[in-house]
Amino acid sequence: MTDRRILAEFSYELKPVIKGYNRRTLYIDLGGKKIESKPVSDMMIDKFVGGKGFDLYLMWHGVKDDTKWNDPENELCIAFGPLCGNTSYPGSGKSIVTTISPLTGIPVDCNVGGHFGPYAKFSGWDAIEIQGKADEEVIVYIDGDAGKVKIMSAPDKETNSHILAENLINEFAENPDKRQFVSVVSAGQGAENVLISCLNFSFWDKRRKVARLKQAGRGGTGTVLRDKKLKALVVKYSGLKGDTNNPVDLETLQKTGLKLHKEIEEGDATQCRMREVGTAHLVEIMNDYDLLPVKNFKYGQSDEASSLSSGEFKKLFTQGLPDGCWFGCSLSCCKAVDGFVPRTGPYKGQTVSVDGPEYETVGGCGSNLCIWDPKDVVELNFYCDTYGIDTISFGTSCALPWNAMSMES
Amino acid sequence: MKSLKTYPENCVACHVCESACSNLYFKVDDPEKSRIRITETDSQPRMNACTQCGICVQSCPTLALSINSQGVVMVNQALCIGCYMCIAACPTGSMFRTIGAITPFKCVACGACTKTCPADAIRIEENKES
Repeated sequence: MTDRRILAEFSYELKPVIKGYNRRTLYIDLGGKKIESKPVSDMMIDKFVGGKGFDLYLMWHGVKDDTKWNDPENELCIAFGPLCGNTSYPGSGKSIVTTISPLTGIPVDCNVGGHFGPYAKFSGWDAIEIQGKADEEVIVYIDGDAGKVKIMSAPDKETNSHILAENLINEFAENPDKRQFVSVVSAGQGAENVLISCLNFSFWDKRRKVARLKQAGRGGTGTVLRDKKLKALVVKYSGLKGDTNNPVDLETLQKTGLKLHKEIEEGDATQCRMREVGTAHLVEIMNDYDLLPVKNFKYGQSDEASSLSSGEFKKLFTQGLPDGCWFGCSLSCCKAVDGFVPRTGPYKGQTVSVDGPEYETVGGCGSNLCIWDPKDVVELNFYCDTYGIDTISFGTSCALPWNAMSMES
Repeated sequence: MKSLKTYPENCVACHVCESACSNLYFKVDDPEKSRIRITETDSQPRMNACTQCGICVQSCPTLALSINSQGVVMVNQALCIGCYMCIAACPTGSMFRTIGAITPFKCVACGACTKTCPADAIRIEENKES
């Protein structure tokens, strides 16, 4: 059990979501140890709706023209939207993350799955806005069952996500049966050292009994998190039901959602095969159409690409389990390689579950580097994820120097 | 394994089983709230009640579906969040939903309807197959 000091605490009234909105956003100043609720106006809803709109609206008011990514003034915003958290439509677990990117100096936005978004929304917040830098390593804990937000000290030695997420879920869940109600946002050691970082958003897989990780992949969001000395965000919310959003017309929502569930159930197997292999189904399609990144984008196709085809990854994925990263997502496209044992690095020999790889990771860390063994791609995927590094940026950044060094003079 | 077996060749489509079921579980006489559905056709009626095949169990993300010691698939209301993946997964369309209830419902082979059937078209049967 980690010994934590409470550095700031904020109590708020728990209220039901009405028609998809809480009508308030959460503002946290890590430097000033301030936690506040800001109202959501009718104008915000009419013009900005939610998600990226809310993120950018908050940042528009929160930062200045010349704010740099590592100024305390930079904000890390995570927003949800009116549909977020419903259990009828695929993709409804998504959050949108924005910040001033360490890589470009301008705002970046990423979308990410997992449980954090809906749980934070149902805890009472349409968006989370984090500014400032903490004096010491901290975590932020949103207790959506009790109506409390806390900034707590974080002496945790571990920052790598596959361990930290699981540690925090075990720490904040009421008991092992309720781990599914906790979600963690974290980065890793990589994000503390490079700019090509990501954020990991966890979800507890009840069958596999592991924390799986989805990524807000692009633009260095993990580096901003760690620059603020924020180790993780944790949310706990136990009251999820299919009507927690209190939609205007639940009956139509559920009927329409069910129609979509059934169409996906019937059609996916002969279309994108998302439920079977996830986005990895794209490898052979891209290769057939001369679009697969090969050897630092020099080619669009390779005869060796068959060894990275979805059929090869299917042999590694555990089949026949509901794999969606949000409840009720019938597309269920995330896959996991269970019982994977890294052959290299500090976690060599330990058994892990690796969420993925997505097509982009197969392309970026596989074909574009002429790495043709699917197990090698899975291992790169595992390390990038736990270190908080974006697999696309990693693969592409390695491809240029590797290609340059291997070119004949 | 216990389940409700249907004999459509005997069914006279009186719908008394639907009334018995919906009255028992929803306290109202409404075929939309029954766990057995009788659909009249040009030939013999189509009778639909869960066969306890268990395919839905794997589709549930919260482990709210389980098979009990008698082989009956049960819905745990406390764990169910009403995502309806099970309804989509059911190969016989025997998992139902209704307005005003988040948790879906299905035949649990309780036998209440069999006591009301005048035509011996529904029976609770046990077989030893796995």
